[in-house]
Amino acid sequence: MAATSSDADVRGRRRIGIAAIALAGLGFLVAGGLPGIAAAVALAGSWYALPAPYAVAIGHLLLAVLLPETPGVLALIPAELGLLGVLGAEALPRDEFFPLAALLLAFVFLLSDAAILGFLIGGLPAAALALVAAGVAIGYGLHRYELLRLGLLDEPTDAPAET
Amino acid sequence: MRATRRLWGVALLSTFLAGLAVLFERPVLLAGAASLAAWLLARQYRFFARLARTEEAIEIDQTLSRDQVSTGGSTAYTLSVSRPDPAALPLSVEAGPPLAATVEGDSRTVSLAPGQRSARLGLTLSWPVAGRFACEPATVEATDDAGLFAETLALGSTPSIAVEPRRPRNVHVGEGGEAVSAAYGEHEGGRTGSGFDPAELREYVEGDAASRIDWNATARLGEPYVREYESETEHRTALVVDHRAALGAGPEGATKLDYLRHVALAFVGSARQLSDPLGCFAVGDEGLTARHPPAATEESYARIRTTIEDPRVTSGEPEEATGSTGSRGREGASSTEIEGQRDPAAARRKAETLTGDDAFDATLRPFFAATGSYVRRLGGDALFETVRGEIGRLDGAVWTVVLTDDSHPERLREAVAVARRRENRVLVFLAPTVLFEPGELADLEAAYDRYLAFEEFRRDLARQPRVSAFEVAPGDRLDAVLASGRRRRDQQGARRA
Repeated sequence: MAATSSDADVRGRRRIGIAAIALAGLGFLVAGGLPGIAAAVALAGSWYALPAPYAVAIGHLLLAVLLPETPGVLALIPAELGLLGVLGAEALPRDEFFPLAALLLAFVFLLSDAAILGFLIGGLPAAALALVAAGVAIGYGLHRYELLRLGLLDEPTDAPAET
Repeated sequence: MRATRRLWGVALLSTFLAGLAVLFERPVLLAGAASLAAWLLARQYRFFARLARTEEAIEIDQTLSRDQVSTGGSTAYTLSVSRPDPAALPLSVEAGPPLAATVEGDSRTVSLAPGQRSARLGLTLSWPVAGRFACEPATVEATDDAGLFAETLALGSTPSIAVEPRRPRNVHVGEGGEAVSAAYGEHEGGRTGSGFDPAELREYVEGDAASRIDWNATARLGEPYVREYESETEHRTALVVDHRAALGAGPEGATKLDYLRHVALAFVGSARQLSDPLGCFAVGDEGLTARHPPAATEESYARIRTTIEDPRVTSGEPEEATGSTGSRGREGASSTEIEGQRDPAAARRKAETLTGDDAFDATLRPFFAATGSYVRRLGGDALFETVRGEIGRLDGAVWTVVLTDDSHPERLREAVAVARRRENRVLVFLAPTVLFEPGELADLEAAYDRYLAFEEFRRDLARQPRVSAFEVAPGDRLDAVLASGRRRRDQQGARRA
């Protein structure tokens, strides 16, 4: 169920989104040259038409096409920051922007660390596996903590039922 | 925390990107997978944090307008939801009325959108079943604004309510406003002879058996004396229960019939305790609806109790007709048999077997085919005809207990006159119509005048030999009417003075 946000929140998200798309577009240009412009336009169109996660997925696919097999980190940074900004704008109301931006970055680093560890152990396949496993583990851990915190866990008791 | 389809869609998308990264050896796709996964985790934590704040701050209050009600009654139910933080999660709150209640209302759910601080819902609950019931906690459904996560919480107060079965309260049985302590109990035969309780001592007369001489008294007094004993006899009692339409006056569960039923069941209990033969004849608008000749078996007491507890006011299940060839009631006979006749269901089964074309089937078939109602039509007043037809047939002395109202006084007078023939005793329990009218007694003075007319009628009945007449009414209403009468007399006395 989509919530109705305040007008200020909607305007804020739109501004952040546009800025993020612009940054990502610049990154595409840096990464791919002139074809990067077409990719940036496609990214902007998908952001306008689709929810942010799908636009970000399309953006990474476009980036994978534009970039060589072993791209340099500098070529990646602007595009990745822009795409993260698209996700961040979707998630954030104005009064929670900075704490949750920090939270988003923290999860990005956690998952990236897991992927890097996996890559060092077993290459790209292990990196992918480690990334997915870490995401599932953190998500399940948050779910259990939520159940405990809200008193929704059915704790088994050893005492016999009263009759 | 429940995952929605949208969440699974994004999670699968992230996994898909990770798979493509491996397939095409493009690490940048792994960065995309990591971004999406981090985004989901951030949203999950954000939803949990807001849900926890909402759960602490929200106030959900369920209230019932009463904590006690009678079956069939209704109460107002209110659900109030309020929260201090208007920018919190969108919520949907479903009311938790007790399962036993019947809910009247369009919707049981109230929504709080972000920006909304409070909401309220009102329902009407009706209670068909007696018992003690508690509300369930209200069900709060929270979702995050992207539709990725949902959670259900049970919150709020759980008030309870006691639903009492409708029954007569403050049953008054009396004469002219004075309650009687007992109208039925262990009884003496009014005669002396052999027995267990000594009654009197008298001189021996020729013809007395030598075994009856009281030798202690004879030795003391010097002359032969005989001791007489109280002789205890069985009471044969026949209840005549009027459940015609007029007996339905009064609030549900406290009608005239409900009050008279209270008295009739007391007779059943007493007869069973004393093992006295008890019969019961139920009278509806269309005639006799139940017939139980006097008997002193557990089975007969149980059948009579069932008949009396039947809640129907007007004519109930019809009894088959005996017509002019009606048999004389026999004590101990099965109450469902009337000599030579079967019940309607048996008649229909018999009709189904008459399929042949011979003279035998052709002759009998029309008689069994008429399977309309088997109401025993009685010419004239059903109560009078029942007393005349049924009580009059019973052999020997019978105590007739008539439970009715004052709707048809002349016919009741005639019925009582018939019942007390052959030295029979009659107890009449009357429910005065004035004390069972719906609503509060608006005009107490007029009600008192009508009560005086009823009381005159009751006394007139009681003046007949071997007849006792009692009033059966709600005690509180009777007290109110009598108090009005006393106030009027006091005012009149003051004016004369």
